[in-house]
Amino acid sequence: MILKINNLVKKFKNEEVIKSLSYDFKSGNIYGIVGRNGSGKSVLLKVIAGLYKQDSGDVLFDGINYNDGNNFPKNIGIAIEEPAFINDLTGYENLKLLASIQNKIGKDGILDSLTIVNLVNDKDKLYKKYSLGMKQKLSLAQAFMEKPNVLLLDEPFNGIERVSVEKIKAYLKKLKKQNKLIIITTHIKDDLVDLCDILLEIDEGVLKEYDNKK
Amino acid sequence: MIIKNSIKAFFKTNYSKYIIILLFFNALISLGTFKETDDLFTSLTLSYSNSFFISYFMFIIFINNIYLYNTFFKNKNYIIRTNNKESYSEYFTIINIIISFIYSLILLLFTIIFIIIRIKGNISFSNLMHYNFYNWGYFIYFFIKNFILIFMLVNISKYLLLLFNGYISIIYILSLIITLIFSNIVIEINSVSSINLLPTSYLSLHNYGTFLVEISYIIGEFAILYVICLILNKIFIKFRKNYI
Ligand SMILES: Nc1ncnc2c1ncn2[C@@H]1O[C@H](COP(=O)(O)OP(=O)(O)OP(=O)(O)O)[C@@H](O)[C@H]1O
Ligand SMILES: [Mg+2]
Repeated sequence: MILKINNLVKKFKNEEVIKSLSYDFKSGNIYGIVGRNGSGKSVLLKVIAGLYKQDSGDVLFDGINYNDGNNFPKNIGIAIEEPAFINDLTGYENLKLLASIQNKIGKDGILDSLTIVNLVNDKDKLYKKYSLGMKQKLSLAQAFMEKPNVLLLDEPFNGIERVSVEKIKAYLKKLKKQNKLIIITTHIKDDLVDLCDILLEIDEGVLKEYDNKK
Repeated sequence: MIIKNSIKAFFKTNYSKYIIILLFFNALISLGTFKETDDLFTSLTLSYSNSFFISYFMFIIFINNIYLYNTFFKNKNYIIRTNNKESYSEYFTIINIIISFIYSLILLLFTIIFIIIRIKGNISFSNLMHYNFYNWGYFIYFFIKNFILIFMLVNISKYLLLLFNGYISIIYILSLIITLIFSNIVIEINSVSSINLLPTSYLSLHNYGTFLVEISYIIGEFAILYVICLILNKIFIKFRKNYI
């Protein structure tokens, strides 16, 4: 699968946050996008996910432009910016509600996904009682659970303890072998060097590959 | 599945329980609208045509709309799983209708309880009301008509929220309430020239001469509001840029 981005422009009022950005993301790779605060990492992922509509340019999933029609991209998992769940439901109930939209997975699928992020033991706690790290884990479990072909993860390891981070990284490497496409953003490059195949830098609204990957 | 699960999830929230308390106070308003000597269905019709009673309920449905939007429909995890904008908008409307209808039944239950206590059990089915209708029959019609009208009026505010922002939709709902309170005078509607252009006037009790005339006016009003909602839905699908 190829996710092709062509001359993408996204503006807010008159401020161009993404300026004619082009890049081809190929499945079977983990991409890391590094950029300082406000460089447009989250906005880029939101445009790819169809949550923001671009002002011009294309986002093509194997040639299909979902954003142009009235569709949201299919088979995509996202964990973008702060987790968003319903306070009065437990972690598990939150995932169950979301899973029932597409009806692709049942209880086992949800529990598997909670296991990957080390959250099974807290699955029956109310979301409002979750700690910051637990919320972030739930957000990742939500992105993983339907085994999507494309994963967009925005600073995924924020607030998560080391052991769990290592476990999630191992899982992402496994997904890569299954030919999934994974795009991760961070503002700390060192977090990603051991995980990513290709490191990119976003600056002034455009993407560049790092010349020498360590 | 998602509709059932969303509604179940909704009723697990604390918020949904606070709304039930607000509905209890809504039902209390009915006590000021009828006399102790009225029978049950006459009292119900009088309550459901009282502008304060209606505006209070309309406001609750409006708040509910905003809450649903903030917890479910502005939620990126939810949005990303709906296939397209049409089904996103459709889920929103259907879930909202069902929840609003459940609330309207709860309000009906509270109101009936208050009325029965006040009129000391004088439930008469056989009294004639408008157009020689039995009072129970007229009330059932009135209840359904008002629910549909209130829902459609509030549904327009949903689109204002989706297309613009919360302030515009609050201004819209407040202006509806103001026109409702000032237009609630019983009028005789006997010619086309006496048609009231304010959509909220169709919530109140008027004398249209015959039931056939009344129902024609009401269906006409439904059709107008329905077309407005359809147009707004198209505009939303075409022009909404950012979902979160
Ligand atoms: N909804 C919005 N409306 C207006 N401006 C926005 C919006 N979202 C983002 N921006 C602007 O776009 C720019 C990029 O924001 P973005 O959230 O993509 O940064 P980021 O790279 O993710 O930063 P961080 O590392 O802090 O998460 C910022 O200048 C921000 O102010
Ligand atoms: Mg960001």
